[in-house]
Amino acid sequence: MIPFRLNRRAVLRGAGSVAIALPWLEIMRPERSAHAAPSPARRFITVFTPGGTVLENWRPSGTEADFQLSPILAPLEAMKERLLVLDGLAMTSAIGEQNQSGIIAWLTGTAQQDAPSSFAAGPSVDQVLAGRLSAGLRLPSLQLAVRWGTGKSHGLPHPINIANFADTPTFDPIVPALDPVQIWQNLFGAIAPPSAALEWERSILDAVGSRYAKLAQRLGAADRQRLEAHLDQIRALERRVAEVVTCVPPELVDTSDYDPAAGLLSTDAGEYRDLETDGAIPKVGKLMTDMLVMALACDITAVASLQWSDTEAKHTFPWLGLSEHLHCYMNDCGYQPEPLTKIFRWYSQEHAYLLEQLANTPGSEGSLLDESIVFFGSQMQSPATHDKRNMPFLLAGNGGGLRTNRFLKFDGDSHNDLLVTLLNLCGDARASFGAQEHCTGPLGGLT
Amino acid sequence: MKTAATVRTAAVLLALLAAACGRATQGDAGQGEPSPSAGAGSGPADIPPDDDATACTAAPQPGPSPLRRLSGFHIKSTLRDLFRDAPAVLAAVQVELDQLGSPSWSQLREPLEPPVELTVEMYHRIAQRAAQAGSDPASLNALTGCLPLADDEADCRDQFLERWLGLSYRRPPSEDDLSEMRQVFATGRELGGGFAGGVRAVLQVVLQGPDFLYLIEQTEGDVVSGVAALGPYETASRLSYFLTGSMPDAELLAAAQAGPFSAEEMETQARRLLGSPGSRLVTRHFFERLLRLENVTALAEPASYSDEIAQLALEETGKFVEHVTFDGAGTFGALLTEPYSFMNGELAAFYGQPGVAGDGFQLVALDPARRAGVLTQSAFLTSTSSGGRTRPVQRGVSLLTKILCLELPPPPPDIAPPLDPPMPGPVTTRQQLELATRSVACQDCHRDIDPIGFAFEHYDAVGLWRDAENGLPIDSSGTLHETDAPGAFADAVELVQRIARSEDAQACFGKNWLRYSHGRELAPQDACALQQLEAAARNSGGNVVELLVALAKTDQFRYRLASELER
Repeated sequence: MIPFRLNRRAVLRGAGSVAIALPWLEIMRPERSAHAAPSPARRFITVFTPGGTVLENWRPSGTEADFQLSPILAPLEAMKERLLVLDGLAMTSAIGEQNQSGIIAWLTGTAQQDAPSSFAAGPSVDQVLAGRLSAGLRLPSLQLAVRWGTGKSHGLPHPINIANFADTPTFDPIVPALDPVQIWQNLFGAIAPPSAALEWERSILDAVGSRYAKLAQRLGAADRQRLEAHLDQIRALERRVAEVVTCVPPELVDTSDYDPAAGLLSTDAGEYRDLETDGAIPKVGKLMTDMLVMALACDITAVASLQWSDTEAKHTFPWLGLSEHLHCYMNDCGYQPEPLTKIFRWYSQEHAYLLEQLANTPGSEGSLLDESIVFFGSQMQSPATHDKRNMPFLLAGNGGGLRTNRFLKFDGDSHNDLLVTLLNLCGDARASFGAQEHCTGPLGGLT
Repeated sequence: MKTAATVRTAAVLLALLAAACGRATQGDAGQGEPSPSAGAGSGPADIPPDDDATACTAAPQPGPSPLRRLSGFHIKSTLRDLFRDAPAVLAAVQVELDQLGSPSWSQLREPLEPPVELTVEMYHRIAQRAAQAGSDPASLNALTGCLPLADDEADCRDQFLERWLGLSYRRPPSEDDLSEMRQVFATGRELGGGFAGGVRAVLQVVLQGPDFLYLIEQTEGDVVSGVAALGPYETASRLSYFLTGSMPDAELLAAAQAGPFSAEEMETQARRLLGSPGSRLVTRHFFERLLRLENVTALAEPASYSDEIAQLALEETGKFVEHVTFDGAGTFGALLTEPYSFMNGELAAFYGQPGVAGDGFQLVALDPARRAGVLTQSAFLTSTSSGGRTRPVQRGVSLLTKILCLELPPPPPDIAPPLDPPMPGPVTTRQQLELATRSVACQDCHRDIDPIGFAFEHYDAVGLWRDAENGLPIDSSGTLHETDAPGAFADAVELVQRIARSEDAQACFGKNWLRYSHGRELAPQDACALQQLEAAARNSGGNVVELLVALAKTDQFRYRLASELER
């Protein structure tokens, strides 16, 4: 029985204390018949990587149910069963500057208002879902970014670096949080370490048990047996409680070599190099991922976005042995598929790490991954031509009944339809989203 | 196709017969389902004869008092009373309270059995959430009744402990109790931070502890003739949980403080408590448990009987029994025969009853030729049906065992269904059942059981009136044999009117209340109490309140067997 318990947990909301609560087994829920609809996804996560992909090295081979991962996707092999590869969708609503319109349309399905200096003409799906999924939680949503604000944005909010837009009449751009230390403090600063909460529960149950033991001695024989049987249950409970600790703030590793505001010193063409900060990207990316996962596990929020840089991504990749910035390999220095493949393959590794953490962290009923939908995307497909057809989209997780371990090929369907489908899977039943003329209805075949 | 249907029907009927007869011998207690091992003298063989004129003696005669855990119904009511002044605490455990009220939560209905894992986790969760909310500034003051100033924090702590333990233990705390909880407070203060941490720890320990969850009766009183007198707080708890389903109120606790309760005092308090809202909930709960009405929400068929209608049907019966008992004729007979009920717009539409609209329930006069009392209401009728069909055997068994306290033996183990050729043309349920049980061996039981069920054949599987079944007229006539009011009846209305006049039925009603209030099966020592109940019923024309007052005055509430105290 114990592994079953470990997959369920309840969190004391807003108490600022680490949750050590026994999972509430919902035995009252009526048995769902085979025809009942799956429950909506409880959490929604987006991950942005810059520069699109190298399509011939990204696209899997094989059929829908029997497919093989490509070189770029290969690092996701261990999580293949939780993946849904979407090939052939087109961001037809991305109208505006060739890069900016991509990141703007990715989660909003709207055109850039008036290129080249303005933002989206609608909210992003994550913000629309925040009100629904994060009801009652401390934060409606969480936006994190790594090495952000490069190139001509000079470290400030700019159409090249915003993917999230508020669900307000003016669709205000939402600036992601950049400083890992501040983020950690904000999310986990007030949470007591798990050992303290565990100690609390133990002393409570200890005192409870003592009382049963003491009182049992004073009653008649038959009654004493009854209390002693209850005492056995208390002791068993104490043992089980010790095994269930689900909200554990990640270790705040030393990131003093990483300047979250390095973007402020960036230049339009990207000649300014901050090799120390660039070198810390993998470490900071891992920390951001850990914090994102724990923010969900601790029920601080149910909607989170992670942005790897921005559409310019004018930073280097020292750990990959690449001394130019991404945009150089994309087209500034001529299209170079080999270093690009190396970079995109590395992003796949990071995606795999995120998915593994989600799969190994308990959610409300199974793992976080069981009840989440993760949407991986970019501002375009082709780094050379900025083509936004055949977008390299990935979905992961099984929230809302998403049926993974498949490779779906679409034929130019509008990605607005994907956004609608994602909304539907999270319990929002609308039939269109973003620019109406690019909506034909939800995509079939995802569940 | 007809053949298959008949065979299937016969098999279904057989399964139902087996299930029904098998169920008959379990004592269906109201408040708890005591296991056969519950205590001395449980089981049908030990039920005292009703006509023992010398059952009562000068010395008190309590029956067994096995240690009882509060049922889910009790805990729900108790938490509401305990945290009346701290609504945030109740809000924090609202989900759990709703679960406790849900019929399927069966573990907490076994007060004599040790709790299972799920139950202990439920307690744990309630204690955790209540303690967390209770130590929030919003509720802290309401619970402690004082502000902990820096130099007299100990004073406020002690004030809190005295008050809180007194309420949650349902008796004044001993010095031992207080020092034990001061320790818990200190640990909480250290680990959880400050005064609030201390309060939180105490709340969380107490709400999972035995003094709260069980009716502890240590009773150090004198032993006379093998009987020990309960302490006044112990009596107060028994009385309060019997008549209100919750902890003793301030007035009852004050009376307990003044000393042991006399018989007159028991009567005074009983009448007072019977005027409180809790007694209405108890009355509803009694009937829900007696008639197993919770089955009404577990039906898969027919699909048209929605969860909503099921809830409304339960509300109808609840309001009816409450009204008849406290605001209406007040008698046992009236509960079985009154030709009115309570419905709101939606339920009335379900019944096809005109002239009722809106969400609120109102008293509705019914056709006296068709409806009479609780047994002709949808809740009872639906909970005794299944698979979208009426189950006359189930209805017969239910009525005979629960309303007339008859013992029905289980079917013989080697029973086999007759394999008949299909009956030509449409058939009624009665015709099918009569055919299936026509053998002499079957008729031994079914001669007595089935006609009782057939009486209700005018009500379909969800309790709606029908004149015909499959185009054929319904025969609801039969004869009631085994009581002091035997005779023929044309339909359910005549049957219940006959039963309402039966002294056996009245006595059975008393027995059921005794089982419900004591949380155990009957014992030989209950003979005197049963006589007292019968006398009260005779003298009051079957008045339910008088019955309950008489029950409150029986020895079980103030005494227990000394042998049970031996360690």
